[in-house]
Amino acid sequence: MSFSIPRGGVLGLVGESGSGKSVTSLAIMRLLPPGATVDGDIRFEVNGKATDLAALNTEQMRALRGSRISMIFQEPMTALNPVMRVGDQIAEAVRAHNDVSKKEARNRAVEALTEVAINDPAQRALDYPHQLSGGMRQRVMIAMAIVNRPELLIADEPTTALDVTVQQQILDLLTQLRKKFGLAMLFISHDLAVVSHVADQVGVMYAGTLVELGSREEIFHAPAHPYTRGLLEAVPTLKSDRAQRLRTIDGSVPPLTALPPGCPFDPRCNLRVETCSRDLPPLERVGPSHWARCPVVNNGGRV
Amino acid sequence: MPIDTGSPEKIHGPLLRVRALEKKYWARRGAFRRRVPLLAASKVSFEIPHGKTLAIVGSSGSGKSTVARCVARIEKPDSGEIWIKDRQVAQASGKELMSLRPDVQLVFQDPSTSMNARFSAVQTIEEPLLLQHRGSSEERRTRVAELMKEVALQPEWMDRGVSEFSGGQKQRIAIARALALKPKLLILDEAFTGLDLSTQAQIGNLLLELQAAHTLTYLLIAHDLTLVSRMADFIAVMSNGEIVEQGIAQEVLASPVHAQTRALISAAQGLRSISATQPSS
Ligand SMILES: Nc1ncnc2c1ncn2[C@@H]1O[C@H](COP(=O)(O)OP(=O)(O)OP(=O)(O)O)[C@@H](O)[C@H]1O
Ligand code: SF4
Ligand SMILES: [Mg+2]
Repeated sequence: MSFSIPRGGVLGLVGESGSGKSVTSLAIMRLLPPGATVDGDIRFEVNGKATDLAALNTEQMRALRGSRISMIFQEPMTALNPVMRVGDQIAEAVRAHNDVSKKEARNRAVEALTEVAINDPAQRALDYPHQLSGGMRQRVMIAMAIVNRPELLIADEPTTALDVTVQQQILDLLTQLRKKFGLAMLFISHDLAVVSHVADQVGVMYAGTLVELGSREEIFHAPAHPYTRGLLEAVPTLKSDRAQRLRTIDGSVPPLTALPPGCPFDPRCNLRVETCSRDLPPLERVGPSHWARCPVVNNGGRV
Repeated sequence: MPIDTGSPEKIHGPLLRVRALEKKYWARRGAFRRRVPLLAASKVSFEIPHGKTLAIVGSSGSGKSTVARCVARIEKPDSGEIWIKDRQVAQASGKELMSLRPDVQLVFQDPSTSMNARFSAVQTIEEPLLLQHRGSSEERRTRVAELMKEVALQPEWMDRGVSEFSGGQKQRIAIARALALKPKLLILDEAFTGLDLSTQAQIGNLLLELQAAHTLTYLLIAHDLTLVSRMADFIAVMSNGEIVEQGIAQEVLASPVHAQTRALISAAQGLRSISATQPSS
């Protein structure tokens, strides 16, 4: 299994937490093996181990975070320096990769803050992270990630902590940047609805395994894997109805260290048959660019 | 399965009543970095009947967490009244504040930041009991086992470190800890944010069950209307530190009046719709 993200393309990677979709997990190493090629010329290598989460967050992240590949994480406080003004932090990122004056770097920082829809950006640039609300902090981190106009942006749950009105703005902004600069994106999220707004190609991860991959149309019009279908049903809708329980997928993702022998989704799957617990099903082609790892739906006709 | 959320106890009047709450922070602004007041909460008034749920929604920085922290009395409001049943606690301090703690518990967004990663589940959950000097070590373990069952965690796991639990399980531990002192009011500040959608729904169902079982009163804080709309009896919308609209949940959702409410509703509808074909924007 190998694939590439074309220039300006967005691969959405979906799965619940613990499904191994995070950049720091085994999953990404499988998706983007060492030396995997993205758009023919950007080499993206991650050689860390799956458990080496802390190392990737700090050193490896710093090494990777640069002019061409940039990352946004879910938790802004891990990427922001609490004792430094946010504008200076962005300016520092500019100067780390560009030979520009302090003044110019600061101007670019304020510009980046404008791009992520922060009101009064020149003033906010002078704030420290703790003076900002949770949502604003996340926008500062996104500003820092895009200020050097990267070619590949790895966005790990970039909007999860943002309020919904800003989420839409950020998704639109990322789409704009993608068009304007040919920014390729690996967009990681647990939220299928959000992914449906940005990705052209969608991969669904479960317990460290890619269980389905397809174009946006294929995944959302004809989801094949029972897990993907469960995720789609769990997208809540806006209504006031306290009498109904919320739709959910019962149970939780098994830890990567205690995977069941066969299909990893077997313990939670309501379509399981006896053979499901025997071997890990292979990824089989179910559509033009559509692959799924479930022999039961693959053979039994799709819904 | 329908959940009976009706209150078995007959207690009249609201459990929580907030009147003209105001909280300002000082921020440095302008070329001379002058200290200027920033009204994070102003003229905030609302009440929640016993056993019911009010959701405060609003965009980032609108002041929701400020209200949550003031009601939980982690912070002292500058002015205004906070009534928990018949006690006015807005300016309470010292012993009085200590005696308020068991009644009002706060659950944060990210459980890992409010938990000591080196603690085990039992140490985490029993912490409030210890702080209030309740029970012997044996009694506390028994209570923790009970609490873990209530939040659908296996009591056999109580000696595991909290870092070994998944995000959703950590949030269950946080809820178990919040329930340890049998609170009347649970404040959940973005308690779902960051969890998987299916886990959010599991936690939502759990909270509805706990509310029915214990007649808990909830103050839910969220920026996303979607999930809270399924859990709230009342909705209050905040913008720039003020409540700009509030009312019965169905009515607010069906006929929003304020522009901010409309924006939140349309954002929730937009984001939560699956867009299978047309590219965004
Ligand atoms: N300790 C503080 N010092 C200075 N300003 C603060 C402090 N805490 C909050 N503020 C400011 O008060 C305002 C309200 O913040 P608050 O955290 O209550 O918003 P919120 O509605 O919870 O936002 P979010 O959805 O992003 O969590 C913001 O402008 C914020 O910058
Ligand atoms: S292989 Fe079996 S258990 Fe796995 S998803 Fe398909 S039906 Fe379910
Ligand atoms: Mg908040």
